[in-house]
Amino acid sequence: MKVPTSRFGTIDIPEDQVIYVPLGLIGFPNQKRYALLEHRKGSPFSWFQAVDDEDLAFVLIDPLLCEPDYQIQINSEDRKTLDLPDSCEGLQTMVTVNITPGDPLKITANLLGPVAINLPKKLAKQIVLHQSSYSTRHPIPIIKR
Amino acid sequence: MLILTRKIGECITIGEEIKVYVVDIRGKQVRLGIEAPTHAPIYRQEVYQKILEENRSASRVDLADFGKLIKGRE
Repeated sequence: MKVPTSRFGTIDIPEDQVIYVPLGLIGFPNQKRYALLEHRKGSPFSWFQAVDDEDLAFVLIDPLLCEPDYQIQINSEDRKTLDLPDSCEGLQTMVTVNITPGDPLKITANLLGPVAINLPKKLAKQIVLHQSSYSTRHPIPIIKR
Repeated sequence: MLILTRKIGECITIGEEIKVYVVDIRGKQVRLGIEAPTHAPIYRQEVYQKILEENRSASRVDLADFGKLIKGRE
């Protein structure tokens, strides 16, 4: 399917690669279909581009690259939404990346509201970590390959 | 805003599917038990607000700026 985007022009995504976010991301409840795109080949950064809103896109990164001990708990409601009844196999956790306003050299990751993606089923949910000391603005260090 | 007085063990029903129980009251803290369907996620307001603001801000990242900023970080 052809997906118009304001950042990347029109992109072509196989329909079976579209990720469905039943509840939307927090603040964007109406956008439920996204495409996961590598920023560049081999880059640790990906884009989460809304299929039905050309302006809406998030940068995602593997949180383990920001915080090696990063752990989250997926509760039963999250498992239901993600269709993960038994195990967490195929579950990929990503976090959104932001440029700190006023200090463009610093980029940060939202470790408090990770995006959990069930890759085989193409289902995602933004998880809210209630009992957590993680920050929504965790500094991202230089990433070494 | 509707304001109701409830005792421990009493409940409020919101619509057909949401129930809020007063489980315990200790000093200035109230423990609530909430039953809601999956499509009505429950958040602590301050955590929800933080993530909402961060999402809105993160959704405005400019591609060209981002490309420059992550140079050397990939």
